Amino acid sequence: MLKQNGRRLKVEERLKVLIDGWKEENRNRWAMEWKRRGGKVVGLLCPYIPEEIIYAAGMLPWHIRGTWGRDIDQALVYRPVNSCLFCSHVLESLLAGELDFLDGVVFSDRYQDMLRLWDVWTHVARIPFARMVHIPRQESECAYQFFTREITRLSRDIEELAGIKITDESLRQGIAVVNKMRTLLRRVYNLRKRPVPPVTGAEALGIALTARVMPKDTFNQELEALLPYLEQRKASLKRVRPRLLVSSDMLDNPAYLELVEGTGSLVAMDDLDTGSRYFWELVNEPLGEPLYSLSQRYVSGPGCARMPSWKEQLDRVISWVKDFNIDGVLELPQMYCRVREMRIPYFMERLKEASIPAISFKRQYRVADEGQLRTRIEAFVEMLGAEA
Amino acid sequence: MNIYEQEIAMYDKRVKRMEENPDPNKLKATKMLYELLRDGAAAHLQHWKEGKPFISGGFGNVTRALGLVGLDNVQTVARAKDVSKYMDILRAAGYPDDGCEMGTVGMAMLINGDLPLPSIATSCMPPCEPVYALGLATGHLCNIPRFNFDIALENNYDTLRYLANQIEEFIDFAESHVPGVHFDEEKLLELQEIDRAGYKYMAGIYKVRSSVPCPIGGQDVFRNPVQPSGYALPKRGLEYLGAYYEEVAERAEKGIGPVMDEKLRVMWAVSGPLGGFNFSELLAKRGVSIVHFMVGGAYRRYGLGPNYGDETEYGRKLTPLEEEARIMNRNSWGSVGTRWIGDTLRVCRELNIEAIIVYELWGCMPTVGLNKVLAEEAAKKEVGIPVLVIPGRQKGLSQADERELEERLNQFIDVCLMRKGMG
Repeated sequence: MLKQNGRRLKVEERLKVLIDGWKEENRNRWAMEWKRRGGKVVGLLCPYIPEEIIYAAGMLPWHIRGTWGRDIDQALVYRPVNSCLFCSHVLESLLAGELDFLDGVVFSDRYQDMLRLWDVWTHVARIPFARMVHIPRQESECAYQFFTREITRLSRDIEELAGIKITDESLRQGIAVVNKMRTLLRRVYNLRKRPVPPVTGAEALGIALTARVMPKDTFNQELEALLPYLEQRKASLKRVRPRLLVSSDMLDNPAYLELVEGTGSLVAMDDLDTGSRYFWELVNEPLGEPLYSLSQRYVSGPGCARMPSWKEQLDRVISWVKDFNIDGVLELPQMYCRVREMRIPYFMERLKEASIPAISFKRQYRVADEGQLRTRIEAFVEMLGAEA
Repeated sequence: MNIYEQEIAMYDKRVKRMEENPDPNKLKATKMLYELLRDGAAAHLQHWKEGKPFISGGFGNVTRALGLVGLDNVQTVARAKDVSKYMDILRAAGYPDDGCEMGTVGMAMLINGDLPLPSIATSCMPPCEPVYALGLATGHLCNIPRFNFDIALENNYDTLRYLANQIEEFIDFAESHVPGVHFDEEKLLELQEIDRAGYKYMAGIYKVRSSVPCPIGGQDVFRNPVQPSGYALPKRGLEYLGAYYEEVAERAEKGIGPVMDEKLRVMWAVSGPLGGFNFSELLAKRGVSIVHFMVGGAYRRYGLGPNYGDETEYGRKLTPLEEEARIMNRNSWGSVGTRWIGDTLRVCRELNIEAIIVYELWGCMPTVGLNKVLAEEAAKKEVGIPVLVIPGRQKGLSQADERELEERLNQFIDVCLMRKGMG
């Protein structure tokens, strides 16, 4: 039961805590409380890193985001302006000391710019514990075995940081807890199939983002308790049609979805690594060897545009369009996201073949150029409205 | 004209120019190279006319052992006459026009019919994400079977076996998806033997660069030799490497080179402006030798790691597929930065290099953000090598860009010479 200043919160207020947990003024709070109680916090830069391992070591997994400030002058000393903005903003955050509270960070090489961020990160050596994990760009038994060895090595290092041994039992517990989080989030998302969903797109993303920074047990307890309320709630929306699916990566500010919904539409579903893709697949239970089961979950599945399974990625988007009764797809790729940019023609072609209206507008990492973006999205929404 | 026809015409012209106006500062072996490239283009054109299969990407000698010809949709940007035309094609098709040209122009060439349509596409990561994305996009554009190689970040036995297993899977994949394709292990062994000899020459070519003055200069430095199987005609590639090595070794022995009054020895890294601005001539006039062009993993490129047939690295003879995996595994380009920086600084020590000029190519994912780290590492007291980082594109530089480049190079040379007490 969440409390604030000793007072038990009303149910809508409790929901608001989950919806707004990602906000600048809130997102560090659970990490700080965790540290005050003597715990350690491990920053994660990629949804492909198994959080279950961090949990099993008794530490708090905490997804890093970049500074949303306009100026990234310190980062630009190291990085050119036409490179991944997420990485540049994260670097700025690091150099400004905003991440000094972290006890460690785990990176992946999901894309090459992340590797380059790693290079600068380890060069400036601000946070002593930093680990890089290779994410296989293949779905095969060979790849599962390889990734099992990768995360076994990670586990040994995490044990050393935590000062405790990770057992199969603690891993199973971690898997159960994170799977529960995934299941609960899917239940929330499935409620969005309704003509008037219980949450807006921005609110839904807010809840998913809070799951990434809040202790999992607390998050699960809260969301499970709030589900009956959500079953009855109706989101406050200007209009409930057209229904959009927004696709992007590193979109960790729901203000973007507020902007979209402010044009008179509803974001009924997302294809975001910070949203649906963060939790959609479960670790298969009953488990065999826990690390192997984790490997299978994280390596398999359509994944993000940087993985070679573009066909499967679009298959899934198209199936979501059908399941969530979507009228149009809005892609908002981050600028300078090179692999994603090369996928755009294929993305558009597949949706066209499936007779799904779609459009793509590049965006900054932080919320910027709102006027221009709003005008373009309004035109798309208007077109969809006319077609309907 | 398609790209092969363009190349045949271009190399013909260059051969003729070399015959009519030999330049003593340029390597004679370069004429062999031009003939090799011209005849290679003709062979590929013939392959195309006969309807034989091409592959976008490929994997070392395995490609050729399968009877496939690699579609060079990456390096062709260097020979593209009108890049702005290709940029228009990219934009019209919805592809980005502001990234690395090597990762995009090949796509436009394919769309425009200047390259043959491949029958199969591969991609791999590392070394290069723009090229990886090109492989994926090509596969989807052409609606052909696609295979991705996953290369780990470390170079050890586990990653060697991981990659060798994938090569095996790829062979099965190619045979079952491309009609007429069949893996010939004898062919693979033959190519590995040729490459083994080639890598010895390449190691020799690398080592003679440590001589003062450097026996290689000008644009010759930027024609990085590749292993024989990297050329369309591997046996002639080996002959070329042999001639190249003999020539530079003789120069080194005689103490001659293009920049006789050598005041400064530099490494040029990553990329450079193609066509037009002759920066190597500018540097030569100032007594600056460009000793080495650092692109790609040095040790893979220069055969300085264990060669084909080496049994000491893993304590046993490797299988032919493991040998291919080994070559790719020791690549430092596009992997963690410490590997590439380590290679770069090692080359500087071994070749007596005093300064580094990094032409930071727009959208170059293997190096974005790494160059400042390189500069700071190189500037450390124990290393003491100044680094100049210049961002730019390969093609389409304006006159103003060239003037600025010239200015920056001159200023950097002034600083380097002052540091040596020669200002």
